[in-house]
Amino acid sequence: MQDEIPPVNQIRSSAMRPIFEPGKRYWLAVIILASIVTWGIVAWLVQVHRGLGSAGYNNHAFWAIYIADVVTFIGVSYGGAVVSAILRLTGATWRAPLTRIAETTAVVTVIIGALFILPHLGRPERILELIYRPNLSSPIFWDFVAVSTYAFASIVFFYLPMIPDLSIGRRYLEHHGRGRLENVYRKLSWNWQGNSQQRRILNGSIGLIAIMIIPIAVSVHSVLSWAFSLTSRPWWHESIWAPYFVVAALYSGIALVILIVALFRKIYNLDSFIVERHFIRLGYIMVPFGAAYLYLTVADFLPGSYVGEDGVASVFSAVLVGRYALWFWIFVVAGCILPTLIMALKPTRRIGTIIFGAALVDGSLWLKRMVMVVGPANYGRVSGTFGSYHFTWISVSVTLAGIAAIPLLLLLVFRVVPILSINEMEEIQFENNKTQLHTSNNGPLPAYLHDINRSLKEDLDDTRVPEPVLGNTNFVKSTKEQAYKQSLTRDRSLLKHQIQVEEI
Amino acid sequence: MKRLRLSVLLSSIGFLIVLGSTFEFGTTLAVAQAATSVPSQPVSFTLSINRGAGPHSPLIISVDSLSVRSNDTTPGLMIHFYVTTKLFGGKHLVPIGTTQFSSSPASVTYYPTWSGLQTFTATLTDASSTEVEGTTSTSYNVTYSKPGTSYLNANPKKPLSDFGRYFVVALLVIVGAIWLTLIATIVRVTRGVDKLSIS
Repeated sequence: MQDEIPPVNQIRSSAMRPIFEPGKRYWLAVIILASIVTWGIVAWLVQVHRGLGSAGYNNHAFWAIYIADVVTFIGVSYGGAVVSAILRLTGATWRAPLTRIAETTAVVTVIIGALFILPHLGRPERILELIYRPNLSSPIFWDFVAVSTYAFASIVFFYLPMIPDLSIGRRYLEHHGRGRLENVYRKLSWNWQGNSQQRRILNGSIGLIAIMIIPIAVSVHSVLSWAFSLTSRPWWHESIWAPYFVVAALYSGIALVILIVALFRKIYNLDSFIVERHFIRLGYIMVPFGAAYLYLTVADFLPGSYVGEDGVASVFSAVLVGRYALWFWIFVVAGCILPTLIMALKPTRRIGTIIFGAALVDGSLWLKRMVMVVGPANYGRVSGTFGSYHFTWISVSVTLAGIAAIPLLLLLVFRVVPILSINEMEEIQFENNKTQLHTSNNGPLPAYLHDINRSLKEDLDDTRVPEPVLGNTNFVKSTKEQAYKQSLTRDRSLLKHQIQVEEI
Repeated sequence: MKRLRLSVLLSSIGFLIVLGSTFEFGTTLAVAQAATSVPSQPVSFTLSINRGAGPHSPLIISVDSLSVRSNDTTPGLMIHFYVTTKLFGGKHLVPIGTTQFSSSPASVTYYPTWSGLQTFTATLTDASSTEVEGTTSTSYNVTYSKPGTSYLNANPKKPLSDFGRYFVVALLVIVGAIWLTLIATIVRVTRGVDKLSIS
């Protein structure tokens, strides 16, 4: 089944709308979110001054909310990158309206997650020791290596598919008199013209990065889990934790993509591009990961509970029937069972309920991570008793700042880059149209050809000649137009069809 | 003013003792604090340590030459044996055995879990209370420890332990290769796209 994509001019105007018409609500949202982030930064500075105890940490709860935040934010980043990579590699055309939002979410969340290392370390200057005095046998060092590699790969994966869009956007900006941004677009699009050779290089490179980013993301979450499981504490010291973290990251990441896509669909009126089908398909991808996570949870708990070793049995008792039981069972019901039911039952398979399910997934997985961190950390191995951890205004403010930073950074990024992947959507539209053309035979000239034609005409009109090489501007422009027209393989083939149709 | 300072000092010490007793090693700390807080030694005894028959035999730690106050009855005394450890930071007394004094010498058998000069301590308490009646310590150079049971010197042969250093180098090479590939991809795309543009 072909995916319906609106006409070319609508794609371009919708993709560039946030750059031109942010609206009053945009600024209101930016101010509110920026205030929350600023408040969080102030709270963190207070914590730097007063010490980690002010965030609720103590000699029992030596790890708590911040490491849960690190795992959560870097985890959700995984969803954006891997969903986009897998859908690209499998050639799923319906991905087109979602990829830009997913890839941007991946970049933004991995940056925020990496920044949470600062409050987690307590003393920010110690981050430098990871560089000039690394302990090569410490998982923390390898966390640093893996997260920075993944962040760089995410940025590359975000940038490369954007090159054609920057070229298209440059012409759009030029028309609308946004000179400064147009210059940036011009530099970053590297004279992209869309000819077949350029496309071959770009698509090959995107394919390579899409393949690379999957094992890189797996390594990040494995190394993050080893920061726990290489520590001899009950429940942390488990061999299952690496795949457990990877699956949790995918599960919560896809849920976040659903939430972010829904948010920006609403804000920028992208209803004609992102339809119910997209949410249902994302939900279908999300649910198997939820089932896998539930299975891994059972596989994690069963052996420890059955054997009943000292510390493990105490921690599992606290999680399953004791002091952490409420939070754990909320996670099981709200984080695993309800989202699966929502997707399983046809009446609940609607945009609103899928968004609700995705919100449940992200919220309850954060709860689960808190239980996973605080439970074993609080357990005194000599006394056999549990300490306690309490939230403080500082830890809550810093965490809320991280949550607010996601939409804030996305709003700011989409203020300067197209929110939709224009080139991909136009390519898919072209493929759809080509198929339609072959099947329509001698019918009247389809309306979409007018769109393509107009788009082509704009491209040709906007082609600028740097310098009149032969001293004759008109001649050069005419030669350039000709060469440019020839270089556009896809458009050339379409023109051929168009001429045939017109001749008929 | 001096009184105020003294009361602050005393209350701080008291607070630290309370805090220490709630710590994970609270029991041993409390014993140590109590032991040092006894102002005089109402009882006297000596602590002797001997290795058993073979070179790998356990230690026999004994209390002898015990003299008690006139109102104490010897059978009512409990003797607690400890070894001092620096594990987990600071010095702590780790209990290694308790015996009721019946006849001299009273001893426990202990298999040291690490080698080297170690300090052993014995404290006497009344059977009906935890009040320390007396304490004494002695040092002993342990030449053989029970393998595989020590928390301090646990050194089991880990699989592929020699491979570790090469593995780290291999990992760093892989990470370097990933970074190089990413950078090379950007350069390839940007240069390639720029070069292939038709001007």
